[in-house]
Amino acid sequence: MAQKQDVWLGTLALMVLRTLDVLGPQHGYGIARRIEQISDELLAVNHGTLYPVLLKLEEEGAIASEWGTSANNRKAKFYRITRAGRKQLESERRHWQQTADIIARFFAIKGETS
Amino acid sequence: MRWLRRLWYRVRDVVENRAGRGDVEFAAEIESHLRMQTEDNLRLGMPPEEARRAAILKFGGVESTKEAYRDRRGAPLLEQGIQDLRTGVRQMVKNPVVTAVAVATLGIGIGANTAVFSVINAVLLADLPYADPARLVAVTQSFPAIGVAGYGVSPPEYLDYRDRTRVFASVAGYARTTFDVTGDGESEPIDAVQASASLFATLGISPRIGRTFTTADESVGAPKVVVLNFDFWQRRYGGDPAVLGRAIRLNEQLYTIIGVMPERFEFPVDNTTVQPPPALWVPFTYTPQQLANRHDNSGTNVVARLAPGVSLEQANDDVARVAAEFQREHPDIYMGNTGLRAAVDPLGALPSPRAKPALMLLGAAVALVLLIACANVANLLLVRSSARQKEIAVRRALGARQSRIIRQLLTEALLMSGLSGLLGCLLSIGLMRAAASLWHGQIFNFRGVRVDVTVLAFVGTISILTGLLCGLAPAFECRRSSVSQVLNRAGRQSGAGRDRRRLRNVLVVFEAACALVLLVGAALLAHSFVKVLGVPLGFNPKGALIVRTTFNRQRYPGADQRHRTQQLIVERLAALPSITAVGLTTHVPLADQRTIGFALEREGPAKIQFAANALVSPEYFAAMGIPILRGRSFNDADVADAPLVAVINETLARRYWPARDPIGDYVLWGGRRLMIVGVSGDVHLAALDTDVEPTMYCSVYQVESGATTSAVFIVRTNGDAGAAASAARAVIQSVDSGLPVFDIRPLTQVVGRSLAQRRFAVAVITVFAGFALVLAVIGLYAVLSQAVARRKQELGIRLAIGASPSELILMVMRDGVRLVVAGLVIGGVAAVSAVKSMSALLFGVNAIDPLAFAVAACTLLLMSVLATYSVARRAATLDPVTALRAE
Repeated sequence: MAQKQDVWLGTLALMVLRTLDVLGPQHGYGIARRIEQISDELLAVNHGTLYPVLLKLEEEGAIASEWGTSANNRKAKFYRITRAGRKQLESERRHWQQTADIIARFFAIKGETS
Repeated sequence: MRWLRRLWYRVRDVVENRAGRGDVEFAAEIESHLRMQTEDNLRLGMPPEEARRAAILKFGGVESTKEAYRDRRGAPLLEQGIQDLRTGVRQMVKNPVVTAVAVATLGIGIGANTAVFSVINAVLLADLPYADPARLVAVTQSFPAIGVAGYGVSPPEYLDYRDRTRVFASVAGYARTTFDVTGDGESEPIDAVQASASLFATLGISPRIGRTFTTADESVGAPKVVVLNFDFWQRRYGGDPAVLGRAIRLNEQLYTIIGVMPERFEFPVDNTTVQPPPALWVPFTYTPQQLANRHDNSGTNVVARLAPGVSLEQANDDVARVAAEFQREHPDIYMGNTGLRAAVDPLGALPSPRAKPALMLLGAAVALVLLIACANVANLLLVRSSARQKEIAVRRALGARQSRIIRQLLTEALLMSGLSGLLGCLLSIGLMRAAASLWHGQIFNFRGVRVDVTVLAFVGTISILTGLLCGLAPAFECRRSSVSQVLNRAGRQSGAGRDRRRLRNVLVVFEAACALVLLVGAALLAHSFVKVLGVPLGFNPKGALIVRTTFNRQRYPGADQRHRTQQLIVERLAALPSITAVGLTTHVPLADQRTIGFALEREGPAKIQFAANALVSPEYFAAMGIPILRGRSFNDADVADAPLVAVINETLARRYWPARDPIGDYVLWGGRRLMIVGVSGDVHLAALDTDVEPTMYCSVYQVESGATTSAVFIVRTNGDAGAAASAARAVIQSVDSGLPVFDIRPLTQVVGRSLAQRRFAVAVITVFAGFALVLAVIGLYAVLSQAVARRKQELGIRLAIGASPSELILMVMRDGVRLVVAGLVIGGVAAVSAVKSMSALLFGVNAIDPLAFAVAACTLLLMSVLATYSVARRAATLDPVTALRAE
C-alpha cells in the first residue's frame, strides 16, 4: 500500500509543479482548482491531501512559499516554483515521456510474424 | 540528496520549534483555503451554511489533514526525545532532594570505578610504547627441576638465540645496570640499560634526535656512547637539543651523548614498580670472557620481534629447539638440575605477581559498591515513580504506548546517570591526584595514569549502564500494573502493588548480599595484614638507619682500595657519639634481593641449589640484631687472602643438614670453595609474607662479585635519627667526597614500605566495605520506613485494640531482619566462591576463615538490626488516632 501512496503522491507533486510552472505563483486553493480543471474533474481528490505534498515539495526545495494577498484581498500563502523545482520538473517530464514511449511500443506489437 | 534536505528541514523545525508556530500558520492557511472555497460555493448559489459545509467536505478531514501535516513536520523521535528530556529535567527539579541524593550516590560510585579503572588501564592494559607491540616477545629460561622460572640468559646463550633461531625478525638483548652520574655537582646514581645495537630496531622506535647504536659501538674498544631517556634529558639538560655530542661522566668515564629517545618511550616497562624508568641506554660491550661464560645467566634478557606470520607456538618450539641444541653441545654445564627450558611469552609490562590479583580485587570491590549504589538509586526511583502512578495511568488511558512511557522513564534515569557520570569523572580526577600525591613512589607508579580516551569511554559506558539499570526498576514495574487497577485505587495508596514491594525487597536483599561479600573481603585482608605484622622480622629495625652508597669500578678498580675505604668509613661511623653499632652489607632485607646458585661440596659441583645471598661485614649481624645461633660470625681474620668462609641461615642449615651440624662443611659457589663457620637466625629478605629464603652470607671483604659495587651501611643510633643521618653523610664524604650518598632512611621505614601495598589494599577495601555497608543499611531503612508508612492503618488498629508497643516493634523488626538474613545467606554463599579468587592475597588465613566471616556477618547484622529497630520504634510510638485517620 505504501508504494501506491508514494506513486500517487509523486504524480500529485508533479501536477503541482507543472501548475506552478505554467500559472506562476499560486495559493493552495488555486492549485487545487487548477488540477481539478486540467484533469477534467476526473481527479476529485480531497483538497486536504494537497497540503502534505506542498510541505514535502517545500522541504525538498522545489517550491518556495510566502504570505500574500489573493485576488479577493484575502490573506493566503502563495507558492512558487524554484529553479531546482524546474529542474526536477524537467527530469520528471522526460522520465514520464520515456515510460509512455516504452509502454506504447509494447502495445504496438501485434504478435510474432514468422 | 533530497531526503537529506528533508531531514535538515525536520531537524530545523524541531530546533527552532517551528512546530508550534507552524501549526498556527497552517491553521490559518487551511482557513483561507476554506474561505475561498466557500466564496466560490456562494457564487454558485449555495446558501451560506451549506457553502461552508460543502467546502469542508471538499477539503476532506480538517483534523486529519492537520495530523498528516504535523506528522510530516519535525522528526517525531527527536521531538519525543526532547520532550522526554524536558520532562526528566522537570522531574529532577521538582524533587531536588531525591535528585541530589541519587546523583551524589551514583556519582561517587562511578567516580570510584573510574579511578580504579584508570589505574588498571595504565598498569595492566595500556599499550607498550613500541611499534606493533603485539609482535614483541620476551625469551626467558626456567629451571623446572628447581622450580624457578622467568630467568634471563647468559651472554653466549643470547648469541645462540640471536643467531640460531629462525622465527624472529630481529632479536635484541639487554641488561639492567646502574651508573653514578658525576661531573656537574653531586654524583647521582641512576638506573640504566645495557643494550645490543638491535634493541631500538627491534622495538621499532626511532630516536627523537640523534641516533641509536650500531654494531660498531658494541666492540670492546669502541668510543663510549650513550642514548638518553626523554625525562632524564629534560631534567638534567633542560631539553636542550645541543646535548648531542656532549660528554657525560658515568662511573668516572666519559660517554658521548649520541641520541635522545622520544617522550613516553621507556624500556623496559614496569608500571608496578616504583623505580623510575631507566635513564639512559649504553651499548653491550661484552668481553670475550663474558661471551664465553655460560654460567652468568641472570643478567641478560632477550626481547625479540616475531617474523611475519609466525605464531607464538612456533616461536616456542623453535626456541626450545635451540635451547636443546646448546645444552647438548655443553653437557658439562647443563647437566643435573641446571637443565633449562626456554620459553617465549608476549612482551608485557610484566606486573609483579601480586599486582594483577590486587588490581582485580580492587576492580571487583568497586564494582560491587557501584551495584549497591545502583540498587539504592533504583529503590529511590521506585519510590518516586510510585507517586506518579496515577499520572502514568492517565497517559496510558489516553493512548500513550507502553514503550513510550518506558522510554521516558529510562530517559529520566539516563539523565540522572549522565549527571552522575560527569560528577564521577571530576571525582575520579580528584581521587587520582590525591592518590598520586599521597602514594606516588610507594604503592604504584602513577606516572602512566591519565584520563585518556579509554577511560572516558569507560565512564560513558558505565554511566549509560547505570542509568539503564536504575531506570529498569520503575520501567519494569510499570509494565505489570493495569490501567484500570491503578485509576481505581483509593487515595494515597498508590504504590501498594505487591510486585513493587517484592522488587524493593529483592533489591534490599541484593544490597545486603553485596555488602556482606565486601565485608568478608575486607575482614580477610585485615586479618591477613595482622598476621603479616606478627611475622618475626629476624632483625631489630628500631633505631637503625640505612645509608646507601656505591663504589663503582672506575673509581675503585681495586678490591683492596675499596675494602680499606669501607673499613675506614665503618671505623669513623662507629666513633660517632650517638652511634652504637655499624654494619655493612650489599643488600638490605625487605628492600633488595639477590639469588645465587651454589652447590654442596658433598654433592659435587653439578648439583646446583639456589639461595639468597648478601655480602656483609663482620659487624653486620650485631648491628642488625640478627642472632648467631651456632658457630661464629665473620671476623677480622676473614680477609681477601684467607680461606673463604660463609655464614648460612637456619633455613639453609635445616634444609641441607637436617640431622647434623653444617659447621665445617664446604659449599661451592662460582668457582669458590667456602667453609661454613656459622649459622644465623632467619631473616625475611624478599617480603614478610613469603617464606624465609635459604640464605648464605659471605664476607664483603673476601668475595669479589658484581654485587660489591653497592654498599649499604647500617647505622644504629640511640639518639636523634636526623642528626645521625647527617653525621653519617658527613663521615662518608670526609673519607671520599666523590662517593654518592643517597637513600638514608630508618630501617623501620624500609620494613613499612615493604608492607605498603598490603596496607593500601586493606585500607581501600575497608573503605569500600564501609561505604557498601552504609548504603545497604540506608536502603534497608528506606524500604522498611515505607513499608511501615504503608501499614499505618493496620498498625494503628493493632495499637488501638491493645497490642503492646513491644509486640509491634518485634513484628516490624521481624520483617526487616528476615530480609537481612536472606541477604546474609545469599551473600555468604557468594562470598565463599568469591574469596577463593582472593587467595593469592591472603596470608596466614584460609579463604574460608570463620573469624572473618563471623565478623562480617555480625557487623552487617548489627547495623541492620539497629536500623530496623529505629524504624520499628517509630512505628510503635504512633498515635493510634492519627494512624487510623491516615489514608
